[in-house]
Amino acid sequence: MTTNAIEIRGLTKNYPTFKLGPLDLTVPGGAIYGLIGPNGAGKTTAMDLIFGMGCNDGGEIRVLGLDHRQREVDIKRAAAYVSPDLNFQVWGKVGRAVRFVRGFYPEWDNDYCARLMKEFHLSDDNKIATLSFGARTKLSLLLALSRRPKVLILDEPTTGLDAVSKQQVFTELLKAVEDDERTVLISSHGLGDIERFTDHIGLIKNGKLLLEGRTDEVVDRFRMAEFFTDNGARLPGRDGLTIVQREENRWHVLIDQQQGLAGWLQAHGARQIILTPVTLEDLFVALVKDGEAA
Amino acid sequence: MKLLILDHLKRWWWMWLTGGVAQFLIFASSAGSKYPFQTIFTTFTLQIIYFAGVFPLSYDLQRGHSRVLKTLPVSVRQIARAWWLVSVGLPALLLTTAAGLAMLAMLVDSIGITKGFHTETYLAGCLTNTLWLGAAFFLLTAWSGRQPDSPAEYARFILFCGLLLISFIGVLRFGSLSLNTTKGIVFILIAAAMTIAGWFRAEHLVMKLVGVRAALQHPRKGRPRYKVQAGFGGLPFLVARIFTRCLFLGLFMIVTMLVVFSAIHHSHEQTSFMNSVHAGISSMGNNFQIWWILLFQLFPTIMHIRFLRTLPLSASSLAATLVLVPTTAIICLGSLIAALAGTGSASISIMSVYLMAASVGAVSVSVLVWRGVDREGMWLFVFILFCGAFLPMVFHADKAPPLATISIATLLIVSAFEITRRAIIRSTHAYRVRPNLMNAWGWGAGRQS
Repeated sequence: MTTNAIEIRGLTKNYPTFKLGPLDLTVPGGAIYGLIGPNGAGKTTAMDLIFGMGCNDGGEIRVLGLDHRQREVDIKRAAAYVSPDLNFQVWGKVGRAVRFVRGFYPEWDNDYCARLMKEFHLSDDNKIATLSFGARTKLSLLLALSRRPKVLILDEPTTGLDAVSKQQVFTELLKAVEDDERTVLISSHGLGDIERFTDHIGLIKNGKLLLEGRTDEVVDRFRMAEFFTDNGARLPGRDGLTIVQREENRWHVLIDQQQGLAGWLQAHGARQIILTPVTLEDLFVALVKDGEAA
Repeated sequence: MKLLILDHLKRWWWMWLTGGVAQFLIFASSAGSKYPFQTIFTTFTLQIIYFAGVFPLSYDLQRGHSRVLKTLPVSVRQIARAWWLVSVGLPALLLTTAAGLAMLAMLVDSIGITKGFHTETYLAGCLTNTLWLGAAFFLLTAWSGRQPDSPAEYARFILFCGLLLISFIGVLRFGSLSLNTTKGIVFILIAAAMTIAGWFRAEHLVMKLVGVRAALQHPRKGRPRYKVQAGFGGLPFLVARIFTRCLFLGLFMIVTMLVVFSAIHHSHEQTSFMNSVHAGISSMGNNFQIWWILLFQLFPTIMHIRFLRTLPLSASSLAATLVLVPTTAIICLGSLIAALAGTGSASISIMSVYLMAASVGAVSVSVLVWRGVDREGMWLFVFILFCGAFLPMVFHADKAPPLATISIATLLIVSAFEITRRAIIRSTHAYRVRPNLMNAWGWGAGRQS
């Protein structure tokens, strides 16, 4: 798949206490795209809008090249949504929920569904009301994967899952995209998992996208710089520079290497500069706390 | 325990105040009547009892209140006693006081009312209030806590519904019973037994809610089945499910009403089968059906709208499923009963009542989808149902021509469909608000972590 699976352009949604966007987001076809951000950043809102849960105030959303409003049903036939907020208790038992959802999808894969049920330790006669939180998430995932969707949108699917279950989930996701025809958009607070399993990421904060790109490239673009300055020295603000911590004359800053900040730091009195690679979690914490720490 | 009661009072004082004022007005307006129960114990009294009594507690429980309380340094017994007192004891005291003030006010010439103080009316009214508060609390403790999905659970569910309905009707029709008759005494004894049992069952209620999570961890028995059995699904499944459940719940309630009304009327007059039906319907019975159908069948479905919205269903299809299917079921139910009533004005009257009730149900569905089940949405929903309770009376066949009834009902239903369709597309309330209605009971659609 060469085209973009999801394209969001200038998306806005206004609530009394929160404004999403304008948001531009591109999920390439066949990718596992991790959407990360702090609580209340707008991840779920953006995903909800893709599925028509609410109406965007501006911008457009295209899934597999289809407009999300005009071709709503076609999109939902090709896409699946997983979230801990989805609940199937009204159907009573796992089997009934499966039968209900299966009826909407002619391409439902019964064998795959049975295999997933076994792996997720779910049984046809399990009562949904008595499933644990993690098991309900697994059921949600099972219902989404068994329809063999071209686009899978997962909103914090690993919430409440133990380490083994998380591993299972990501293994299944990797299998789902291995034929290069399926795309996964996943939001999660498990940054280690996101860094390990996704090939693209987008970082959203206060309803706006701060970063987007290939995961390895984004992470490699930043460095944590530790250096010393004279006592009382101050660093002027600059794009690509995020002060993480300062203890007297010792500084920890996150720098965007694309901005050529190493030379700039030296020019502003930084000494003994040590650059170290960052993890996605370091990057996330620094960028999300930016503005609070300063 | 004191802190729990104070906390409840701080949050729900306005509900109690409203109940007290309403009780005052009802007693004041009916003073001097020789047979006050005929006028006092109408739907309004039932509503006061419900909203001053168990409703605040059940609303709290639905929002996960019990899970917070169980982490606090209070014993199960303390929680149980506090719940009983705020749902039965204190509201009973409040209503008794309000009724007493109303009766005393009748003695004051300066306000221009001199209808006199009827001690018997006062005592009987207070006794009835207290007993039905207690009965309602008992039924709260008897609620099975889960959506039934086995014959035993269905039997328990039906028993619960039957008891609740009988208790409601007991309040409504109490006026036609005399305390001196055997039936009156039996009703009083049943309600008294339920009130006392509620005090002891309160701990069971707390333990049941606390034990819900523990029960989840029990290992399954038997061999797991990974292959899902064949069966139809998709939209036909949803439509069939909503339709049959609404229809059968309505039928069940009709049968229960018949039994109760036949029993009540029997002592006073020889009434026919259809007279009992008609008595039930004309005395708000149809509105109870709508309430129950919405509460037990549609609410859970609407609360899963977030999930339903992820399925390949257009907004129009979903709106039609949520509005038109239950409406059709209610109209079918009305047609069935009208057919039993034969031809003539009785059948037209019944049909009119059900048509209007169905349209009120349709409007309330649209409100739920538009506003979600947050607090404002719930109150709007309740308000519409209360206002809608008068529609069948206004558009009774004796008072309005059938064509007018059909036109207005059609208009309301079509409007409800359009509002629902638009709400599904435009409103985010139903998706954003994470309702915990009946969460603690196992029906919740909200996040439970």
